[in-house]
Amino acid sequence: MKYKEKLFLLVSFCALSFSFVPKEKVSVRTLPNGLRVVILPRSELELVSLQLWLKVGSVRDGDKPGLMHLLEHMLFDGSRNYPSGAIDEAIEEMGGRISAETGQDFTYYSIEITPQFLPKALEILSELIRYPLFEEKEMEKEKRIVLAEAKGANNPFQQSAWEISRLMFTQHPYRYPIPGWEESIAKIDRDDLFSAWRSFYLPSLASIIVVGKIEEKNVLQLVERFFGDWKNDSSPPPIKAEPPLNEVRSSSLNYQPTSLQASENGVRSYIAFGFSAPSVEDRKGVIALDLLDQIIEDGKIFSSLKEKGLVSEIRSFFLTQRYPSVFIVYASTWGDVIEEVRKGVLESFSELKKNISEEALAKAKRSLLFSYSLNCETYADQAHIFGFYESISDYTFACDYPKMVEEITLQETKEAWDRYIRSDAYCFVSLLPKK
Amino acid sequence: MRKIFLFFLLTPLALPLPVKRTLQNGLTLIVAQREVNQLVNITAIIKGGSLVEKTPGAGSFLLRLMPLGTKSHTKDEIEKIMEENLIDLQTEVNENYWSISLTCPAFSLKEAIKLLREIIFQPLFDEYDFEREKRKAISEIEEISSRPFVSAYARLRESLYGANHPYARLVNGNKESLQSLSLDELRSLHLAYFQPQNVFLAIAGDVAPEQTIKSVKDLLGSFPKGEAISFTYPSFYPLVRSEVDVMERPAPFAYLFIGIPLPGLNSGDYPVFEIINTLLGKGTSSRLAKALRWRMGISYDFGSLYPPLLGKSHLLVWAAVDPKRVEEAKEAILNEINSLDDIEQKELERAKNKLIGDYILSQAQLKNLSFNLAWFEAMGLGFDYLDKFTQLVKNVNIWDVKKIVRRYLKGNFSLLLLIPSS
Repeated sequence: MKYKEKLFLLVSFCALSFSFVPKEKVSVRTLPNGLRVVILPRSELELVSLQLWLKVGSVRDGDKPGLMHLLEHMLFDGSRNYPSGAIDEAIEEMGGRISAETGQDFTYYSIEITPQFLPKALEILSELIRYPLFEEKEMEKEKRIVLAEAKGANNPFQQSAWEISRLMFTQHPYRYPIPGWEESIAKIDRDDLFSAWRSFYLPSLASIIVVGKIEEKNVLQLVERFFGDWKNDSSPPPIKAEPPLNEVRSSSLNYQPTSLQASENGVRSYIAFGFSAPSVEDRKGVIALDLLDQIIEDGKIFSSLKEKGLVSEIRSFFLTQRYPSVFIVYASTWGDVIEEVRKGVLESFSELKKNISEEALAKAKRSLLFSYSLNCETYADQAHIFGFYESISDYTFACDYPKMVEEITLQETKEAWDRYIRSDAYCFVSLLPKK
Repeated sequence: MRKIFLFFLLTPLALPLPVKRTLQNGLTLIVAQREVNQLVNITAIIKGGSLVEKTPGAGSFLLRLMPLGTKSHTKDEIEKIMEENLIDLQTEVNENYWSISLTCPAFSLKEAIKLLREIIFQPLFDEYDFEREKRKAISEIEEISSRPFVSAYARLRESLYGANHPYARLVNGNKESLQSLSLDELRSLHLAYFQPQNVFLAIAGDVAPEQTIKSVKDLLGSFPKGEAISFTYPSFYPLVRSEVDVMERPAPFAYLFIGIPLPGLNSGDYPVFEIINTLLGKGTSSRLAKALRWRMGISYDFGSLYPPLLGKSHLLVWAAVDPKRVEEAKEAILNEINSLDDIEQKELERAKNKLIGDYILSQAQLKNLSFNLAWFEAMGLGFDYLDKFTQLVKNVNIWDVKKIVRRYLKGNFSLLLLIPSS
């Protein structure tokens, strides 16, 4: 009886996980200029999510870290028909929302709106992307804003994560922080912005995603109208590959503690591990590390470290990326037990690799798929997940994801963990309070 | 000329209307059918919150303890139930209510209702858990209350409400209050408020309404009604004089906080307050955004907040700025507040559309939809306020806004400046 119940649950759950990304309902067209248009008509709500994703992010900063992020900001600071701030105003007066984000591999612009305003939203999106002005006085103002944004987001986790990237990547541009730093931002001039925009904001590197109450034909006509004559003026050069990591690299930094880092056992220190992680090409590897991330989130794997009072918090971070990337494990701990924690984390991993059961893996799969379905709840979530995979591979990854999770075997999972989570090749950062 | 078709904006959700039932024991249930990925959310709002607690932090601590063990299941068993049925549980306490929200696949609905029943009506209040959680809460509170925003906002509310007012304090309490907390106090708080006639339940998602109502009746209908509860909410009074306060904290920026008392959610002017809040500080085309972000380029983190409290609420305006530019920012913010009554038709329409748009977009998430249904009902506005709200916003005219601005926003205010300590 018990077995039957479980089976039923699994079958129902499959249905759940497939329903939100119905591949057969998604249509994709590529315009002659290379722009991909991914459309998913939905009928439940009178809403549309419109997103434009570019396959370029801070990896294209060159020798000016922060360039692509500043560029993303500058697009809102004036274009042909909209002065600084006017695009936000135009969207908000239609009751919509607009936002943008720069990652390492991607940059995206997102608009949520009611369906009757879709034509206007597409017009605004094309003005934003295709006709920016990059005015000098706006640039100086925007540099202050991006610096404030970076400063506001700075915390021990962020600090150790950037340090891990610096250790892990000696050649590849994942080495540098997305927002750059004060000196690198100061060096960016108007020509840099123009040239980055001309080189990388290209239809062949872009996908437009539309999810919501729309008709496919209508959307295609509109995209054609506003983006059909968008030209490809260049093609981006290849990016330097990172040689594989075959050693342990460590570094130690100090941070300025505040009362936020006080605890009963003294002022906190932080540690971070960076393990080599697969690129999106290695699908099994990606799924295996997503499962590991889920297992860490579920919390049992490091319970002995917590019970012994060696760490107060431990979590992981893994984002699927276009190029081989990094799996980060981050813990809040205390200076005198750092070595013990370091050993403990590595031991917990080797224990997991050795002893994980079919049942534990099945549990992690279910949790992972449920989180995935929660992350695909709204039209904006669905457009986001399609766009994200478009920017590093293609949207079908999102549709196939649940199936890939269900199909990966225990053996394949373990093999992937062995390949990436190695105790003889990783980066390690400790962040200690300044005395 | 661009014309805004407000009519379309206002009627976007052509969906089955939510159904409301009151069980014989007084429990209120609202069901809204939505086909979203075979997911469902159940949100229970229990009236009370930190307003009714004796010891600061008791209400918040109560909700922390309740899901950790019930008369039928231990903490581990509850975790297992959640894992097997894929139930995601979130709780929240504010000044006026407790909220427990469960999201799960539609096929787990019954299990989720059963779990919610145990958590609400049959918590265990184990001595050992109580002591352990108390230690944890005490160690967390220090971290929470030293965050610049939290500490400054708490201090500002003290000047708006008076130090001992329940709306002035942090809902999580403080170190001393948590230390003095007893299990008996939690038990009696639970006994007094967690009873069917004070529970407002909304279920939204991929469910059949009649069948769901039946399940809830079967599972929750047998709990006794309990004793009648009456609530008194703080009445509105303006500040006697403007106050200026300065504090130092480790922080990456200087923070400016300005607070102005306003009547609460249950005053008839609630939609106008929401419009003023939007106009002033919400989104990237608000007055604050235009001044601080677009014109002056001195702040990335700013905004305004109107907490929908019962009785006496307030408007909070904040901005994080470079310590060297505090004076400039202060002048700009006060100027924006003071000149709100020069509003023109076009700007009003924009703010209304923005407010309604945000409202509709937020309801695309089931947990927000069911929260709103249960919360409006619990706060006395009725679950159908969900639809009425947009119409009420639409009805507000320029003179309504000017009147409210002149009446409440041109008087005294409380200003707090947080300076980064060196």
